[in-house]
This record gives sequence, structure tokens and C-alpha cells, in this order.
Amino acid sequence: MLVVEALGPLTVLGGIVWALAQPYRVTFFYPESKGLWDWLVQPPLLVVLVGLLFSLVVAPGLVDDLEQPERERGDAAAG
Amino acid sequence: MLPRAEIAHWLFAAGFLFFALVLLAEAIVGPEVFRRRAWRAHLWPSLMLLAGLWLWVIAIFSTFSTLHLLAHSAWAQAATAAGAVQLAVVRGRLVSPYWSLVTAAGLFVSGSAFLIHEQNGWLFARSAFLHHLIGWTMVIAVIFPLGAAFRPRWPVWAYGFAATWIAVAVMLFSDRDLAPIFGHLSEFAGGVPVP
Repeated sequence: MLVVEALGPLTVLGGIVWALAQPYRVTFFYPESKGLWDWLVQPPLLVVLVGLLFSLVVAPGLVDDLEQPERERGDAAAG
Repeated sequence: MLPRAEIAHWLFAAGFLFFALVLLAEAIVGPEVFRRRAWRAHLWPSLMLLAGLWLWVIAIFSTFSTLHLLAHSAWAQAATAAGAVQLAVVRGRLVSPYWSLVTAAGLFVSGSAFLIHEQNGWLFARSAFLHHLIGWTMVIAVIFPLGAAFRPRWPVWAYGFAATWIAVAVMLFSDRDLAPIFGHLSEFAGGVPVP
């Protein structure tokens, strides 16, 4: 369960580390003579975005579904 | 205003990275838990189908070269077919594990198209290097959907398939329209003026 929860944050961390290692890949740090697409598509920020999307949309439901049988087993033992 | 090729590659890289995380999550928790919610079961086949549709859009704008047009169309066709078949699998319309062979064929067609449409050698420029590397990665990765067809209970195929897309995403994120590879850039690539 921990592994599934960690996938998103690890991806976000990967994006942040990449942005620090190669700041020239982030248009916010080097805005000179950059076009619209450079502002819209900044690779390290895309990685952060993907990690966030996974963490917020996919991971919570998966963790719930993994916990459900444990909860049911707990309820049965208590009952 | 059309985006540069590298921008399109980075967008696909982001899509493939999300696709890989979804596949990895399914490999970790197992298909039984992962497919407990209908929307999640349909997620990665839909993403594959969507990638196919986007590749058709790319194909439309790749008319600058016949080879690129054919390569992008081949990828689009392969991804669309694989996505459609996987959607039918999760909906229960198709039950045989051998349908995974369609994904294997799609991966092989995509990898071959990468290799065939790159006319320059490995060290010509970074984009050429990455085309060769991605092509061979996809061709070799055919082993994962092939394995899933013949030994569907082995989890290694699911992990391998997910790892393949993480690798493809990293490679696509590394792509630049014009950049050296291992310090080398051919003078014909545009880095150094030809005397």
C-alpha cells in the first residue's frame, strides 16, 4: 500500500530534482526569447504535474480498495 | 502556431509517464483490485486509444516527409488497435489472454517505425540517438506482452511493460531537436557550419 502511495510523491520529487539539476529546462528560470509553447510545456514541471495527477486521482481510490478487505476482516473479527 | 517536434515529444513523454504509473500501480496491486472500479479498469486502455488518436493528429501535421507521415500513421494505427482491443478485454467482450498479442504487434510496429524512419546514424545528433534507442527498446519490450499472452499469471510481464513506458518517457523527455549526444554532433546536423 505504501508503494502505491509513494509513486506520485516520488514522481513529483523526480521533477523537482530535475528542475534543480537542469534549471535551463524550466522557462520560468530562463524566460529570454521564449515562445508560447515554451511557457506551456516545461518538461520538469510536466513530471511534477503527472505525479500530482496520479497522487490526487488514482492513488487514493486504490489505497481505499486495498484497505477495504482489511476493514472487512476487522469488522468480522469484532462481530 | 505549431509546436516544435521536441515540444510534441515532451507532451507524449508526460502522457507515457502517467500511463506507466497507472500500469505500475496495476502491477503492484494486481488486476483484481485495480479493476474493482470501472473507471480505473478502463483507464490505461483509454489512454492507449487516446495516444492513438493524438498520433493521428501528429500524422496529419507530419506531411513534411513521406517517411514521417508513414511512421506516425503506423504508430497511430498500432496504438488505436491495441487500445481498442484492451478496452474490449476489460469490458469482458474478449477473454483470451492471446489478445495481448495485438499489444505485442503494436509495440513491434511502433519500434520498427522508429528505427526505419530514422535515416541518420546513432551519433548524428541526440534526436537520432534517441530514435534508435526508443526503437530498439520497443522492439525488445515486445517480450512483455508476448509473455503475458503465453504465461498470463507471471507478474513480471506487467512490471516489465510498465518499466518500458517509464524508459520511453525518460528518453522522450531527453529529446532535443538539435543537441549533441555524448559530446558529439555531426556537422551535417546543423551544429557546425559545413565548410
